Amino acid sequence: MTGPRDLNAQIESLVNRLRRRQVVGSWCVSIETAMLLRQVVSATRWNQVETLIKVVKEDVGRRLVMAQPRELAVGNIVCRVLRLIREKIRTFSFYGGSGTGTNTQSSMINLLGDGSPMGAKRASPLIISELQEMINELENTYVNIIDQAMEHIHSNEIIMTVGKSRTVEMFLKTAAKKRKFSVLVAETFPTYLGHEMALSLSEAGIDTTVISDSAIFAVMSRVNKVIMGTHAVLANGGLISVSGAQMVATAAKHHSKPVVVCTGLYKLSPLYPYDEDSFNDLVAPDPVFSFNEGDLIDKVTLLNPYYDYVSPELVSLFITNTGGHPPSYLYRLINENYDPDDTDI
Amino acid sequence: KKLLNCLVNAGINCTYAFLHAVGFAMRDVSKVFLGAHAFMSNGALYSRVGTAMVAMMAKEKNIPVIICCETYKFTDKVQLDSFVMNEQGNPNDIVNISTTLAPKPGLLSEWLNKPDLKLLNLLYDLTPSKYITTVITEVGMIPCTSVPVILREYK
Repeated sequence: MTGPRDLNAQIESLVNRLRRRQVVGSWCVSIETAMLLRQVVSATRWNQVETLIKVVKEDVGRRLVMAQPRELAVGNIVCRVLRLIREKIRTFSFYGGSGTGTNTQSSMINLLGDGSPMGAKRASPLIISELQEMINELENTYVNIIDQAMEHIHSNEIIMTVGKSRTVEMFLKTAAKKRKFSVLVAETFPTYLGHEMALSLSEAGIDTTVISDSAIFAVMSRVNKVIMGTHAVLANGGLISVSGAQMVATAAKHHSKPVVVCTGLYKLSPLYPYDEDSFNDLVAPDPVFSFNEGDLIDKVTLLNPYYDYVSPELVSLFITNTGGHPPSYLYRLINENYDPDDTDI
Repeated sequence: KKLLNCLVNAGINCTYAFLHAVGFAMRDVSKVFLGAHAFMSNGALYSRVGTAMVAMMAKEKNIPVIICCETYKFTDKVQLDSFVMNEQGNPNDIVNISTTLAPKPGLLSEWLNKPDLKLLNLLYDLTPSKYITTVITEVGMIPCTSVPVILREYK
């Protein structure tokens, strides 16, 4: 059992690494957050469940989310942990584990506060084992997704993708072991992530062609399906994805091609996009128009959004570690994994 | 960028963005003006690659798309998609990842040595007539389906 000072040091370390964006990729962020929260739960002394929830949500969770507000995966994991804790306490008290024996009929509100020290000691290992299961599920995310690769790709297909997504890369490489198909990668200016993706795919022996972003509409008539990854999935089924994804998805809709999004469930956020751009970031416009261009810079406004919002009508299917789901099913997954009380972290 | 220079020198308030920002920028737009390389007899616009993308995104948000085109660019040909006739530019232009005039080769500089990696640099694309609202020519403002009518007038 780690002392409170060690725990604080671990929390500080993760907060700082998140703030400096030293933890790269939603998957790494999710795993680190989950492991830290497991430490927090095992190290905290609690009698009432509200104490534990307050520690996880306000002391630790809020600090992590504030360190990197654009990385929605942090908030997702905190919400999931809180939900797990509440579920465990609910089932635990309901089955009379609290030791007092007479309170099983009391209202649900009372059940949550009904922990005697004995109850807390018994509930704690259950909660920790649930957290461990969640961490195992996170670690096996990629394995579960790529198992579905064969069902969705057949021979001689032309698949389009945009940006660089580890999930899509592994998905396509798995399918390439048994099927022969081609991939068109959009170069995804200005981050040029498409170049890295294309190199990696061609090294795996997949026939890859790099096209410029402007040619996406032109080639869409020849593409069979679009497979892309995403940064986050919002509660309505909309995506926060790399800039340019909205173009690809709209072009695919106009040509009636299916758009498949490969993502782990840890990217599903309970937040709702009341404004399309509430999750967007405008980054330095230097790649768009550099300082070498001279005086024009003072007279023009330059736009360089980092993310794109893709509306749920444009997506045909989500392939997640729990299987394939249409966008209309996501509300169910949110209901199962997150509590409505926690969305305001 | 030349267009940007002209407009700024004329005193117009300008915002410059790359194609990937078109979804983001389109919210504040009320009209779209595009140029043409040629106009097909089926009302389709043959123009610089990327034009079709902008026209499609504008149509998606019900923003009018206006093409400025002289009648000498109208042609008898009909074309349905961007593949049947197009021009390939230098594929090495894709390798260059710098935005200034000095080319800076990126990750793909060895693409010739990799058997499975190809680069495709299309120069033109075709915008279907359903995305075009009106065409401004020296004979007036016409719908894009009237292109063969104007051609016939000239014969």
